[in-house]
Amino acid sequence: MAKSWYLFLVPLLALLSLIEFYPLLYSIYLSVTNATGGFSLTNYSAMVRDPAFWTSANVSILYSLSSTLLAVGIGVGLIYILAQDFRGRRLCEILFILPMAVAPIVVGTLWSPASVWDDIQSFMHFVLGFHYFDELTPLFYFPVMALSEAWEWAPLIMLVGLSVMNSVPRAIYEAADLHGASAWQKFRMVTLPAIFKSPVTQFVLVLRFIDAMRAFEIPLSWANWVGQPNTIGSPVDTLSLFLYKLLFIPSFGFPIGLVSAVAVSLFGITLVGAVILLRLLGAIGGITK
Amino acid sequence: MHSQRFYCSPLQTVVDLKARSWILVVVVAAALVGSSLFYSQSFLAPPASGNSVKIDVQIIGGVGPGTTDTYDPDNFTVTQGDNVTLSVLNTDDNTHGLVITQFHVDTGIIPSGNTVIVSFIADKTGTFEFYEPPGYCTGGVGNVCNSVQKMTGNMTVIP
Repeated sequence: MAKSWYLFLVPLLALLSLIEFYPLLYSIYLSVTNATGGFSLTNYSAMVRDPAFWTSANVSILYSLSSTLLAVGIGVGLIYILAQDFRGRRLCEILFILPMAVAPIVVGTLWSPASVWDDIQSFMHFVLGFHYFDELTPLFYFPVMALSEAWEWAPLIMLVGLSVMNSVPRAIYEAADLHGASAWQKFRMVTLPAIFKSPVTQFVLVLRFIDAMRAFEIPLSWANWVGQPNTIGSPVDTLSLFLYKLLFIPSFGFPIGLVSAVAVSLFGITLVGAVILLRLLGAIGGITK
Repeated sequence: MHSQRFYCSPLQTVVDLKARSWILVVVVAAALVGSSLFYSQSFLAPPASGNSVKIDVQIIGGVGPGTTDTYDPDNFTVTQGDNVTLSVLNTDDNTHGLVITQFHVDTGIIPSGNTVIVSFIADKTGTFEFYEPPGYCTGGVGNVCNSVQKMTGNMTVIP
């Protein structure tokens, strides 16, 4: 009886093998076989020789890093506002959370040239007398894209930060008050370290990075805004979008083996990135202790 | 990895954070700078030193039974390194399109009377077929699109 405890795992393992292991192993299988079913690494060699793969992988990394950092910046700003005592604080909290409720594809549309930037351009040109700027250069639209992703997810950082902040003992703030600390000093020396030292925040940051590595909807809508819906290796192609275009644009000929190889690589890159981040965050006192 | 389990004071927290966080900062900053450099090199560099070549291609519908739709011209030559701009005008009453697989060129489905402009750098030499993939020809009078029709042409890239 004492040794039959593992029988209780069987239903869970059966479910996991159906929903997790089977698709994962099958895509790995597809990526290492050729059209006739034999083992071959041609898919991987085709992938590493494709410059579009490398630019897409780079776009993914740059996009996730910059949007995560921007989200942290915005989130910390929001926390600072909400750490103060003022009338309407609850209302502000609700307003700040709103972006999280917007679907990513709508974020991609909201921040687009057609809905925002053309109007800003017109205002700046006709009212303020500036020259038009080129909104279709990657120098402009890539930061905007990363910012829109950050805008959507900053409330998550804010929520986590606020909950961590509320768990800091009041005595510490009172001690800071006794020493005559200003609101900014209390924020910088008590609240911020508490937030970033918390395993919860670190875990959420890594999750956000992983999620941004798989970003799809916002880059997809931008690919359409900048006129690159049918080309691969464009300045907005993340790995997910690269994979999607390879698979669904007819002229690429449905290269399922190559797509599987890219999918497996995306999985690998994300995993490695997440492990590195976890380790580094652990080094400043966190989860991997 | 000492003293991490016991948080005595916020002061200790600050010291720990300052002592070790530089590794994280350095790695993240390096990744950020590296990928920015690679990004700007991939997408912000001036286009290859080749000339800009603009080629107007018209899609002309066949007239009467037995004739097929054609590209005009169905044969053109560019030099390696050229920055080629294809302006594809569909004069037929059906929708059409143009694809060059090797250069990842795809106009998408062009409605009747519309022009689609695609650009690419001819970085490979050889003769490359451009064609209309299945499903791009739709609609029009009499619905003459069928699987038999295959519009093709050739692009030659000379060194």
